[in-house]
Amino acid sequence: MRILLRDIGKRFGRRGRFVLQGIEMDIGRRDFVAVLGESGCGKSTLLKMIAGLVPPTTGEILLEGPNRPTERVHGPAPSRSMLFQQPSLLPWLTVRENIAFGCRLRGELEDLAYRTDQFIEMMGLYGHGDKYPSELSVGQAQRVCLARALIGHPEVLLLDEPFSALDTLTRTRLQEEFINIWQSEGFTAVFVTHDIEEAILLGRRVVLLGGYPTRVEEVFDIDLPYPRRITDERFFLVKNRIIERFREVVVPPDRRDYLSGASCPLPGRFLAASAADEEGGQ
Amino acid sequence: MRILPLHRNGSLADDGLFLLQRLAYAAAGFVLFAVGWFLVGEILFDRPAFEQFSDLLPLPTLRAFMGLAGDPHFWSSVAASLRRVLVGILLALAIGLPVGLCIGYFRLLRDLVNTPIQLLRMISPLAWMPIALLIFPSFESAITFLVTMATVWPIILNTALGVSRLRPAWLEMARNQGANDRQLLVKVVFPATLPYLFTSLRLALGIAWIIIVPVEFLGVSSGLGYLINDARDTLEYDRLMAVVLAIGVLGYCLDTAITAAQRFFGWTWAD
Repeated sequence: MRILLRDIGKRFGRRGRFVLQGIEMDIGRRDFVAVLGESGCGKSTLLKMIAGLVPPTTGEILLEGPNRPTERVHGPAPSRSMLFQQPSLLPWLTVRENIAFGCRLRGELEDLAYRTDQFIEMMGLYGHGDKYPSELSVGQAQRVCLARALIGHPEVLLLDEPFSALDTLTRTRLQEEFINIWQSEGFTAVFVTHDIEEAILLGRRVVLLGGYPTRVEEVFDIDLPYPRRITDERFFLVKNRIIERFREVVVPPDRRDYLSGASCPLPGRFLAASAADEEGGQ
Repeated sequence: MRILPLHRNGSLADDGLFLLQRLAYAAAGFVLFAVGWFLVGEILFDRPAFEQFSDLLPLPTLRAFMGLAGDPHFWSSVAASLRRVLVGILLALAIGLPVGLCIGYFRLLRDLVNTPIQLLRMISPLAWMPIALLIFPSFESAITFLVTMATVWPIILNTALGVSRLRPAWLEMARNQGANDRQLLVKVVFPATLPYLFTSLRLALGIAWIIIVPVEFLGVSSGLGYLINDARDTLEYDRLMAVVLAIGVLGYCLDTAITAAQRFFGWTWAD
């Protein structure tokens, strides 16, 4: 499924400031886009808008699939499955019941037990099927969430910093496993992160958000083969390019009040430069 | 639905020892209570003016208590009181659960009704007695109304609290997985509020058990309140005291039973 974001803007409350403004994106079918931005810049809100959980204030999100007309995002749909930052498992259900939760809601009961077992196996959760979330580690809980998000074979998977709560070793293993799953399942993935290395490790493209209100500053094509290694020289070069650009576009939170208006007419780069000049002059 | 086994921190032997220790403390507390009762009674009823009340002492009470155990009238009275408590709580649940769910879910409604509810819940159920007698055609229906009035507030407030403490991530996840409003309520909101509902039921049962005795003074011919009135009128003070004791024992048993159910059907918040 192809996702088109057209002039997306978001503000909270009628008189609130725009957090996101003029966001344009074209996410191709089976693409893997990593959306990179600092904490609190509105990345998760952007993802929730694509999921249909939050409506945009301005603009529209369009979905284009093969053999079907273009449709506008109106509310949530299981075809756009989301994986949240914190494991959102229901504590009164077992691992097996949590994985099958969405399918049961939608009445997709055919071979459900078999499919659930398959995903338990795929996620390395063998022997944990009858456990409750309180008996799992955070890494295991996030695997269960991933299984729940994938069991309905979504066309789009939206990931909101799903590995940020994990330790480095578990995160690395899950990142590698996730790339394998994406390559075999063939869904479109939109991955939100504030970790530059994670964005380059996973994304075929990295969309850099910056400025205030937040907008797309630059899109980087990552032409590195999977599996990627952070020790790779090319990885290092890409990372440096993004870091340099990141420094230019990101407005520190303590400068935002000074720089912002209800809508900000100036590009983020200009604002950041002005802020830096002013600081230098003091 | 999650049914959790009780969490054990130590081995089976440790658990057994812990249980024995608790039982020993409970027995010692009970003995201390009986000794205190006996001593106070001995000092008070030793005087000639109070001699007629000597049946209120532990030994006559215990004898009458044993006698009650074989008295079918006592058991029918217990059944009558329990039935009234149960019917009142079920009615309170039927009203309180949906109202609590709505109040917890819709913030505007919560803001609207919070003050009236806080005001109403502060009115003693016994204050409604004359009004209940005026409105309802029978003593039975008046008692049911009073028990419901006393127990509906903790059910409403605790259910609303449970809903308001729902994790937004659960709702977002369920909506993302395709849940409609009804499924959201049945599959997420209701199970999430279940621990709070059990707490409210425990509170409601405690309140209902306390008020059932005074409201059964209302002219009915069965129930524990009636038995107390009857024993007082016939000057059977040992029986009166035995019924008082029975009310305490039964109340303790009910509370223990609902606490066990709370543990059995509850689940931890940690996920």
